[in-house]
Amino acid sequence: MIDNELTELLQRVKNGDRLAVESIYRQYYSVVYAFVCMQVNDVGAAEEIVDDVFMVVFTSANSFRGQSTFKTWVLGIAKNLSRNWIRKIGREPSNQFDSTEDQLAGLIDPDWPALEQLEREELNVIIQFCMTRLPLFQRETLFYVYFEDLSLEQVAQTLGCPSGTIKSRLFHAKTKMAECVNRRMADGVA
Amino acid sequence: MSNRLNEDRSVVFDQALREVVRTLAPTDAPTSKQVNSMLERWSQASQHQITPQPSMSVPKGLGTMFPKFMSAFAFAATITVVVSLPMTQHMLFLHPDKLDDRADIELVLAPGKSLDDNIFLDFVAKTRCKVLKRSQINGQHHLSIDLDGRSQSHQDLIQGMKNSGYLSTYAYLPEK
Repeated sequence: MIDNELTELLQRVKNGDRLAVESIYRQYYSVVYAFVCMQVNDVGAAEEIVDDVFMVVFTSANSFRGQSTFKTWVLGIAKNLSRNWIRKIGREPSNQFDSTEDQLAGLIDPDWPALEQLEREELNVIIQFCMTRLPLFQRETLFYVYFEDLSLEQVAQTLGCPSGTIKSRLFHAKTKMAECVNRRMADGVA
Repeated sequence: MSNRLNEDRSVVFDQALREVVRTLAPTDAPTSKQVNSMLERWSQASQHQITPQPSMSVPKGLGTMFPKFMSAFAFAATITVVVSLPMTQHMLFLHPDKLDDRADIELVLAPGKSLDDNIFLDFVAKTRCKVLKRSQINGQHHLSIDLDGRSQSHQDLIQGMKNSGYLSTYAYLPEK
C-alpha cells in the first residue's frame, strides 16, 4: 500500500470510518495471523491475539508516526502481545543454542540423510513441529525470511539489529531444525 | 558428489520450510464472521460508532404493571442506597464513562519509557482506551487518555504501571 493511501486510511480510522477499519483489517489480517501463529503456536489463541492486535492498532492509530513501515509497526504490536501471552502461560521453549559464539562453534553441520525417504507431507508435519521448538527470535527471523521474503539486510533493518545477527539466527534456526528433523525421523515420528 | 547431494537436501529442506511458513497464513481469512466480529468490537470501543440511545422508556407490556410495584420498589431502593452509600463512596468517582474523545486521565511516563513498551500496549489492549494527545516534555511522554469506562480494574492497571516505574504520575480529570 502506498504511503498516501495508508495515511488517508489511518486518518479515516481516527475519524471512525468503519470501511477504513475493515480495509486495514482485511489487508493485514493474513500477515499478522501468520506471524502470531508462528510465535504462539496455538490457533485459537492466535485468533484472539490477532484481534487484540488490531484493536490496539485502531485505538492507537494516533501513535503511528511513520518512523517504520506500517506493517513493521503492526507486527511490533503483534510481537509484544504474543510474548505477553506466552509469558502468561509460560510456553516459550527452553533454548540452549541462542547465547554465545562458543556454542555456535560446537554446533553440528546440518545433514539430513533420510530426507529423500520422507513424503513431502510428512516432512512438513515434522518441520511444523520442529519450528515450535525454536526460540521466539529465531521463529521471527524465519517469518521474515520465508514468509515476507526479505533479504537478511532487510530483516536486520526491520528488527533493528546487524545483518550478522540475523544471519547467525537463521543459521541457528535451520541447524536446530535439522537436528530436530533428524531426531524425529530417527524416532519414526511424523 | 557428496556436496551436490547435501546441496539438494538443503534445497528440499528450504523449500519445505518456506511451504510450511507460507501455509500459516489462511488464504480465505478473514472470514465475514471475523470481520463483523472485529467491527462490532471496534464499534463498542469507539464512540464514533455508538448511536445515541433513546431516553429510557418503559416497554408497553410493563407499563401497566409498573405503578403497582413502584411504591414498594422505590422504598426498598431508597433503603438500599442509604445503607450501601457509605460502603461504596470510594467507588463513586469511577463513573461509567464511555469513549467520547474527551480525556479522562493524564499519564506522564517515566523518563526513557516509550509507548512501545509491553506494559502500555497491554494496558491499551485491556482497557480499550484511546490515546487522544501525546507530547514530550523534557524527554517524558505526556498522554491524554480517553478511557472506555472507569472501573476498578482500570484503576488497578494504572496503579500497576505506576508501581512498576513505568509511569511517573497520573491524574484523573474531572468527570463530565
